[in-house]
Amino acid sequence: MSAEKDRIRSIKDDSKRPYRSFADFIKIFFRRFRSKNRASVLLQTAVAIILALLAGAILVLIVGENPIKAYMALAKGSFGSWPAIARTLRVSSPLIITGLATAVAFRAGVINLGVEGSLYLGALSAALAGIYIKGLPLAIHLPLALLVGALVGGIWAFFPGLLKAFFGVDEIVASLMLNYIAVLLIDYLVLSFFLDPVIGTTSDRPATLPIPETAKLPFISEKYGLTIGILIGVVLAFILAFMYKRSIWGFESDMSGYNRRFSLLGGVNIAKMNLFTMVISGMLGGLAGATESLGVYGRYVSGFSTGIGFDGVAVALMGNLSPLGTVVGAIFFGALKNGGAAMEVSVNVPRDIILVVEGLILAVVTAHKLFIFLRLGLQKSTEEI
Amino acid sequence: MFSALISLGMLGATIRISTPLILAAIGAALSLKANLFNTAIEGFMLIGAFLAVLLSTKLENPYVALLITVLMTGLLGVLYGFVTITLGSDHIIAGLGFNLFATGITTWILQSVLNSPGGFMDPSIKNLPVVNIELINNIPILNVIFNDQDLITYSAWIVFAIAYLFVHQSKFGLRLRATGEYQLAASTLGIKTIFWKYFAALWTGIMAGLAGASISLSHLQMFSQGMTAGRGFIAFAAATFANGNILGTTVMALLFGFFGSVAIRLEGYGLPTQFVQMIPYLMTLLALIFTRRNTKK
Repeated sequence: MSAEKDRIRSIKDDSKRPYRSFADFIKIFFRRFRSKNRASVLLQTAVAIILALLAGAILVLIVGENPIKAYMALAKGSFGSWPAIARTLRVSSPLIITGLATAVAFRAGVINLGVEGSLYLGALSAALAGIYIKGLPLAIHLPLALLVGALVGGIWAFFPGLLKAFFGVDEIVASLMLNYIAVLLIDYLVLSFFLDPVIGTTSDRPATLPIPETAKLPFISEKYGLTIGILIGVVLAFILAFMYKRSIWGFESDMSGYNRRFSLLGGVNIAKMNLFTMVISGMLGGLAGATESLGVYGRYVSGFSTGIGFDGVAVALMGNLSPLGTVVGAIFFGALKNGGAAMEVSVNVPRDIILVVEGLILAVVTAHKLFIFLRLGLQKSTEEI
Repeated sequence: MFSALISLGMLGATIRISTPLILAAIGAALSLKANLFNTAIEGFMLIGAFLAVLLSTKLENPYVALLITVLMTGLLGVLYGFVTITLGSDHIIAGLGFNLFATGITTWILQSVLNSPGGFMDPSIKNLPVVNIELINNIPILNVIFNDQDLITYSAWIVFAIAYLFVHQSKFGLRLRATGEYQLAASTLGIKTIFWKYFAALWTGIMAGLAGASISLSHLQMFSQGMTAGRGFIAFAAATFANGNILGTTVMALLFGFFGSVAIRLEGYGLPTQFVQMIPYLMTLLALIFTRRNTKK
């Protein structure tokens, strides 16, 4: 009887139980993490990354290259030297802002997949504000151009937000459709009205006129294309982190994402919250686009975003939807992308493997039953039938 | 102008454009009935389109190529099922992940294995032969709908019939629907809910592969990067409008196909290409507003 009691006590108190084997140690290690929410999410993300990288390695093997060599080249290309780090930060800068755009939406329970569209429209309109508004000093012109980009991005996200808030239209498909429409609309506008007569006829990618110096983001490092866009992203992340901790909006937003019905009964105007969230998300997307066209490109270049808006989803989820976590997630994906480009040059593995790895990460990063499947926890999920 | 839009040629074009939409939408509808919000269809279609063309060149037999393609995308469908059903990933996020994966892997293979970045075209691509039934050659409407189409176009109709009978008329379909309606209740009744969910995921993969093959192999005999261009999402939308009802889904897919063919017609009237290309997406958006279906749980 007493032995039975001991057994029960030992199960109750994992921390005092001696480890029977290495496997046992691992099991208890993971179980202890499971009890702490934040740590377990962190661990889940780590497992997702490792699984995706492993799958990527297998694919590299199938193609007949050496995965260890490839990943070494990737690591070296992303953090191996100061120039590599600068380039990683350059690639990360728009990702921080699109990640924040996604995080803001997801936290409030709005699945905005239209950041890409907002990004394109923001990039074009900021560039136009930079080119066609003349005679202003940098201190006014640059913020104005950024604001125009953010506003147009916000207006674009306003449509699906409005449809969701007042017509109950699902925002997922609506925002996806609007991405395609945005890209086509912009192509039309650039090709028929704003084409640079020099670049436009020689390059295969249509572009606008160059943006004058008064509207361009100052460079931190011109050689590596790093602008103060990254500082904008980091500052925004801190502001949002503060808002989520301290402001009424942050609380209501989290609450309506966590439990829609409860927050409705608690007096949150859900329709307004949805609309507002969508617009904020779109504005951030537009701002991300603006920092790109006013930054390293110095003009609007058609098709400049290789899915930066969609990367935002991975970035935000990597950071567990927290603003500061999003910054970390953005730097991680920036490193992957930049390292991938370096890897393409040194090893015969194209950078598209990064897209594959990113997709795989996304596929399992939200898998809440992953640990149950891996037999790392004893507690069964209540949802399991 | 209007009479030119509604013509027999239009009917043929509508059928041609609808085929991938119908196939993919029926796949999405099956998933939807099992309560899976399978947005990964877009990616499956892309991989299907890619594999069909690639294998058809390598194997020099379009039928075998089609079979392997469909098996591979079916496998991917099961993988998506594994991630969402067993591992409990968010359906939309996992779908997005699979779509990125599809974009990445097709671009990768195009570039590093085939050495033709951007697209793949080969004179040795064997497309499926078109079928001509002489019996209905002289019947105007039937002739346009059923003649000079290839195997995949026919298969869309067969798939429609089978899916309709399966989902709405058979006891297995009832089990599938029960799983989707209320999994707990269904499993209490002894229905193998996990099995039916995987079954739906598998069929969605197969249908999407067939749809992708119909885009690349049937009409164009080429593959270009990102050639599905959101058609998977449109098919997904078509399925959600009809709430997974097979007949309604097919009608919606046909409607979207019709708008697609209208768009092609309008190009001849001097409308800017970009606006013409926008029409399918705009129509989907409009349909969303009118039906107000919710894709989320």
